[in-house]
Amino acid sequence: MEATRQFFWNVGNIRIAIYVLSIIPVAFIVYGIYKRALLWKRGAPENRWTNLPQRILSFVQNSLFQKRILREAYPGLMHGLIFFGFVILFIGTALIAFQEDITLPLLKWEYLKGTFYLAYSLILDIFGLLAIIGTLMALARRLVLKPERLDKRWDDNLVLYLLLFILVTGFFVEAFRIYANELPSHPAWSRWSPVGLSLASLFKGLSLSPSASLTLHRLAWWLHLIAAFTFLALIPYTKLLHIFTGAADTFLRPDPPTGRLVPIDIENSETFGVEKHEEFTWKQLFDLDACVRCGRCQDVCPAHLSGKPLSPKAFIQDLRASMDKCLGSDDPPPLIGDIIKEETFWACTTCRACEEVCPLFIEHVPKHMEMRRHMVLVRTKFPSELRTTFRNLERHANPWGVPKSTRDEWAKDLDVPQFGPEIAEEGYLLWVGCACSVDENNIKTAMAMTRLLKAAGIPFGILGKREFCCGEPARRLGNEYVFQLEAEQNIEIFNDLGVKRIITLCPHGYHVFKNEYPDFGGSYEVFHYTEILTKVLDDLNLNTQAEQTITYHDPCYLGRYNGIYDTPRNVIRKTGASLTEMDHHGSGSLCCGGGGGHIWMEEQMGQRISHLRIDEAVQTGCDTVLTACPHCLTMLTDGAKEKEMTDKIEVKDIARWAEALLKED
Amino acid sequence: MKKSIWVVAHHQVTDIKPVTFELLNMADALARQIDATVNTLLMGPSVAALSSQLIGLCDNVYIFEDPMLEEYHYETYQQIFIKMAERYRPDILIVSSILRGTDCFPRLAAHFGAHYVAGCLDLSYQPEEELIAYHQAVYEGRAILEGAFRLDRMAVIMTRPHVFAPSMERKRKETKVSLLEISLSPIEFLTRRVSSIKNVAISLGEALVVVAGGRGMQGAGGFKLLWELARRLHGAVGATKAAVDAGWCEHRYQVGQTGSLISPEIYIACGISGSIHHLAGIQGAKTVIAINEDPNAPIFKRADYGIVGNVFEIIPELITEIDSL
Amino acid sequence: MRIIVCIKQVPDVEAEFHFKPDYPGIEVEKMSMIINPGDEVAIEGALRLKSIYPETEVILLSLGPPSARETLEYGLSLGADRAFLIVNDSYTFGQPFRTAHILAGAIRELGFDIILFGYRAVDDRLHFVGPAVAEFLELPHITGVTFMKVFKGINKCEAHQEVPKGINILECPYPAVFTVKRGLFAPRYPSMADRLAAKEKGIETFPLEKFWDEKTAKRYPVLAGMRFSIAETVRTERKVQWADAKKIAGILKKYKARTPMTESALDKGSGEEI
Repeated sequence: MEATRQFFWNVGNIRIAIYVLSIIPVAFIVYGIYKRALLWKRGAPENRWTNLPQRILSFVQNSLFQKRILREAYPGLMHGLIFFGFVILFIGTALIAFQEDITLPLLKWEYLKGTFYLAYSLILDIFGLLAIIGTLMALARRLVLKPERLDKRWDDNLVLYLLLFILVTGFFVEAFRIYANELPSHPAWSRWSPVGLSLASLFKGLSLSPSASLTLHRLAWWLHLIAAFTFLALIPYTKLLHIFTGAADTFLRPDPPTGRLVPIDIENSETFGVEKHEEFTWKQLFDLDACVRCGRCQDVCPAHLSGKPLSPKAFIQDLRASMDKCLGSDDPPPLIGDIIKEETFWACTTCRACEEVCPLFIEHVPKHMEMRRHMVLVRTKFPSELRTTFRNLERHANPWGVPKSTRDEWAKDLDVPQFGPEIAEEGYLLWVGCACSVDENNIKTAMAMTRLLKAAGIPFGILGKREFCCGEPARRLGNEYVFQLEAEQNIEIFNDLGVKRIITLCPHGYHVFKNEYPDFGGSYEVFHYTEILTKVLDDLNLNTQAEQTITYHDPCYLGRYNGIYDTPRNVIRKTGASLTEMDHHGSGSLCCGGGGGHIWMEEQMGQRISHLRIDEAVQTGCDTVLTACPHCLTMLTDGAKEKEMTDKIEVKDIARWAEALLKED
Repeated sequence: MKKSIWVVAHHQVTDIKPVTFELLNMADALARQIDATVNTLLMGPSVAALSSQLIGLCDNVYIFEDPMLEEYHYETYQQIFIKMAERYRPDILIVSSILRGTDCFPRLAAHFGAHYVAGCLDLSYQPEEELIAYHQAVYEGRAILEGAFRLDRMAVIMTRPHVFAPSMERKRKETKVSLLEISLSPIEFLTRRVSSIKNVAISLGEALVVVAGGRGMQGAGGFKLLWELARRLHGAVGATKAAVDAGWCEHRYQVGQTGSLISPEIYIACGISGSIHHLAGIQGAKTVIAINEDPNAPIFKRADYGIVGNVFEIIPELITEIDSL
Repeated sequence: MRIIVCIKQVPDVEAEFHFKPDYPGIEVEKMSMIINPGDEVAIEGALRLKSIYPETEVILLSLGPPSARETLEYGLSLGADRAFLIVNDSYTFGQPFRTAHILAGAIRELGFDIILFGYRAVDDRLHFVGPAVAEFLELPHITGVTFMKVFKGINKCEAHQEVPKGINILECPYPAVFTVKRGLFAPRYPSMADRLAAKEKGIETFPLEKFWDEKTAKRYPVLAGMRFSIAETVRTERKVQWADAKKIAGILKKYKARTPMTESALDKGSGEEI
């Protein structure tokens, strides 16, 4: 006889009853999701159905294969065990239903038999056990380990107990069945259900009577069913909602390019930015229901780490809690002030560390940016020191208000070619950027890069006095109006001159040119200078550098925004220098504290972010920290001075460092 | 008839102020070119005794004493000058812009439809065209205007202080001292002073001289030195962000991108390296004097005068030098 | 209450400076033009009064070329209610009587309670037009005001005037003319809605001829000539001169205080700027 088992053994012919019963959890789910959907629907329209293949790939990688969740060992393993356990158990249950209710009655085809059945039985047992281990790990974390990033809500432990109950009752059902039915008839098959068999052996030791085991089986079966239905019914009302919303968010993740802000249609908008929930897009609201408060974002947020009043987790949760109050209320509480404090969204350095670790691709930064936009464009209430910056950007086209006429003074004695149509065809526009044009420390980067480009024989030119701010500071500070003025002006100049390829010294300019100008009709091939350096380094006559010990600080707008992690490191390695990484590096790098316009703002609360970072750099034992961004250079240099660590570590830009290795002709 | 140039004397209780001698020197030089008399108007509640200090510096000293001049009212001045002008018909009236010059004289010029020159740097005569020429800094000091006018009506000239050398050389043999022959009629003042706040430190934004310190001042103690220097120059004290962050100074003293933006005539940067963040706040400064140990500090790129050395040696030295002036 | 703020569009002297030796000393078309910074402070002063007396109407008035519309529009975006341009052919420099006479005419036409001017224009730096308008309209004036209040019921204004050794608090009945210095009035930043609304509000115009003709012109003095030279101190070729304490003391000589400020005065400070 082929190995199999009688499904619905000992519980009577209740198939129809189960389907009828299942209406209850389904109704709960439908109603719950419907209520949530009403909230999402209040948001503004946004198209998230573009680039389907990429979205599906993201869903497969991140939902089905838990890619991002598994990045952290303990929580990753824990969630993976529960997730894969339940997925397999769900498939197992579905296979039964499919055979019993479709293939068997309609086609007289039974597949859960023989070797396949035994393997099926074994796999389900193993995954059930793994799921129990995962759930116990989760409970241990909640009850014993209690990491700081976890907060408590009523449903946190409840769903874990419920999961455990479902798993345990499942095994009890199996064990009673094996004890009462399988062991007496086909003991060999039971070996393929090791967990059930072990439990059954326990009953044997207790000399459980067959009739009692039948009753207990029925009891366990019903408890298991009720628990499973309860679980389903609870989904929309507990953190379990992320089973749907989280999975959906991995599909709905923002289109590349990463970190691009959505333009405001200034001419045709009545209001700007966000002060009410419904001014967010539906996706931004949907995000709120995906968050399970895992706290990974909080662990990596430079603002949170340095004691600013911003936790990305609390930010999302506060938004969610207030969104709940919107339903059926004509007068929802104002978002800015009571629910989200102004200092919260001004504290964001737009480093995107939170978005990079979020397993569910929740978009924190755009939400901060929308509120800033509202404050700047509608309420004109912002940290007072920014008034100077805005005014300078409007009047002098640079954040520091340096006269336009002195912008190219650094190049005075260097014979730097002015960009013109004759260069446009084959060569590059070297976009110097505000900081490298006017800040003494960063001017050295501009000088170094011009020397390197000349040495490499790359045709290039600068705009000199015709160069204005790229607009990134204004945009990240919420001043979309000034950004668009600047972007349009620059695009006009680029197009007039026939610019095709741009090299930027600053990752912020790099990001807006490459990823945000196309929205305004300006598309160019954009390179960060390290991308050029890595190509030409072999042709340059450089001294090798083996004495200095180097660590590298990833600029956020190069790394997380544009995925350029290896290129600058390659440049460093090619010179023979040994590179030691800081604790935070690559996609998990820690911001210098200057992003999101913070370089033009006061940092009054908590510690300095730059101090945290310079401490890390010093801890590597290296004598030099290299970076590839003028703002990082300024923040870290100041940080080292403030912490009186200039004798321990030197902060330098890669271009300047490489140029120092250039052999004299 | 001989033309007449009038100078309004500035004085304290016991002294004619040096700026008066500047004006007289200016008037004297012009008077020689256009053949004019130089007349000084000395007015106040009790000023007759001061006239002796003007002997030999002008042709006439006119004294006007009235208790109403105890307190400044533009209405009083307005009436005096109108009556004086009607009685004596001056061709040129020279005043210094300090001490209410800008309050009272524009209105006077408007009253008479007189030539009006402000911020005057010098006066000269161009005989071929019979023009009086003057220079004035315009466009916030980026350009110099050379203007010229015909002496077809009265001219009210306001000079900038400290641009003309004061001369004490008593060139004139005879100086006639007389009383100004006008009488004030009672005035019902429209503007009244109700109170005043005295001895207010000059605000950063208004001070002509700002003494600022950075990380190089090493502590709040170092800033005491800056206060010492500032008070001798009737100046204000400023600080870099680094110094404010270190708690040596309150935030309201911060100069730079996230503090005050200032444009003093003299900015003395002590122990300041000169980050862009700081330089952004002093772009309007006319003359920058930097004291720093590091000759390569960026502040020297923005400075007009530089001293390389230790601030704790140089500032005390500077204070001693100023005290000995 | 009706407040008239007289503003001027001036070249942004902090930006690139395009000099020319002939009148008006700059290549106007190459310079970026902005609202005279002092006038922006005056607008802010008017708006603060409006925030206390909401029924106040803040009217901007400018004499200038058609491009001065931008400046008026910016003023409207700050929150002024109406804006009038007296249309001139071109940018004017150093014609204070003409400007004062024309503005006085327009102000008379508009009706007023309080008239505000910026302390002085950054281009010709005369500080003439404000007091002259007061003279032409026979109004009291207070110059160099850093703070002001209006007591509507008793028809009185109170103004703080910065003087070398402190602050005088003056009062006068209104209508009156004030020239405003930067003090407590840090100009605001316009919101997007205000910028858009400013476009809607529109600029009203007066023809120049209404207030000015050849005959009037004869009453006032004119300059026989104007020529310009670039100032030596212009920052294009700045180079540090190394010095010692003695030399620096010499430079500082003219700033030396007769009586040094007392320490208590130093400590109190009045540097608060809002």
